[in-house]
Amino acid sequence: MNVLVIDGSRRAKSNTGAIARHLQAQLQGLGASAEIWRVPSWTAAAGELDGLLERLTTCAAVVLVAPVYLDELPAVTQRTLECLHARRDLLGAAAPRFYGIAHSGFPEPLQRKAELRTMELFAGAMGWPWQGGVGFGGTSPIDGRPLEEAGMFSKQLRACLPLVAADVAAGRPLSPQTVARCDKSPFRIPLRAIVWAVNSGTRKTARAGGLDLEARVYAGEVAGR
Amino acid sequence: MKALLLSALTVDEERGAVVLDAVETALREREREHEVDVVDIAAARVAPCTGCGSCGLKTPGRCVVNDDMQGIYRQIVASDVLVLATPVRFGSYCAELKKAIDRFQPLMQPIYAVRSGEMHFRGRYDLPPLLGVGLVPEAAEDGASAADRGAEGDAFRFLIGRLAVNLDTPHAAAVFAGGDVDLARAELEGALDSLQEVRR
Repeated sequence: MNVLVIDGSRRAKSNTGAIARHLQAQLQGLGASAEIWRVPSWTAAAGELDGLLERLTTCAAVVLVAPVYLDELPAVTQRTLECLHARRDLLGAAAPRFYGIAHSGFPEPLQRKAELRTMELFAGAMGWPWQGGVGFGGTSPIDGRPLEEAGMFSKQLRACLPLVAADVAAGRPLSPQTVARCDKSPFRIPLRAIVWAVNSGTRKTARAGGLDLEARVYAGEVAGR
Repeated sequence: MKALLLSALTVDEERGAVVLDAVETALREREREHEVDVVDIAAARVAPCTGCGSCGLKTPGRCVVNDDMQGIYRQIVASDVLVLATPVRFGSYCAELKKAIDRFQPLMQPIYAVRSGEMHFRGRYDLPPLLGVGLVPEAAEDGASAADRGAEGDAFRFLIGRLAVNLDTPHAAAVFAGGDVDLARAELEGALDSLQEVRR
């Protein structure tokens, strides 16, 4: 089985890339052929999508992995989906099964709900069978490292991505158990304790650098008024 | 009072201009003694966010990308209502508007707070109430059914609510779904009424 994993981030050393590569390895371990394709930059020529269109005609499943920017896909990823939709006639009868993975630093599943819904609506607009989506929270500390090197910060992902891969490789929708397991917060301490700990580190860094974290740079007169 | 309308409606060449006119007219009637600034975000010089993090801990509150967003940040902070108008694409903003929204990070501090029971960035400014205006695909367009339109509209309303939680500001949303601009205009008026209540 051919699986296309779309890396929905343009950051050089991204958590999205790390998740995509880990999933790719899991799929390959299950005997599937898995290739990663990265979304093009905003200024990329339309021709950059040609390679993607070609792959989509031959793959059985697509997994879109993307970070969450203000509850939604990054603009470049959204643009890729819009371009694909505009050129969907070129895909003929191809209708790969479509899966989504959304991840962010925030632990609550609600913060990934809109993005997963967008992926689902995209699949519907393309006429592709939606196979379900999962969200992962608390991914920021991974900092682009391979998941094997990120210790406790990637524990949840390392436990859950094999479940996702198993469903994808078997050609079935994500099971409710897989979705529920992925959505669990990776943190075992209260939210306010997490917030306090992270803020303490940030304030310490700011003090050391003499930075004003509350600076209101854009307050004041608007040019041209 | 100042209203700032960030519009990507021109992306929809068929219906965008009509809807933009309806939104602008409604705002001008409402704000007749005041100002309505319209920014065609699809034509503005706005680069995608690279997630460099500078606005957090290198130059707190300042985006290092020197483009039209520098002026737009000031306009947002100085406005009393922020209107985001967009063709709805798969329940989301179109990519052109999302490019600007991705750049909203400098409006928040790199410090977290618990809000609505969730972890969020703390606000840097007292941001204006938010009005989302979505133009969903027509039934005949792209094979979309009435159910698709409804789903896209619902998803967009939910998304505007989520952005408002992120920005820590009240919100309302209006959706232009079909060809009946008058019907949508009534919805828009209702949304503006609810925001006006908040501003009092």
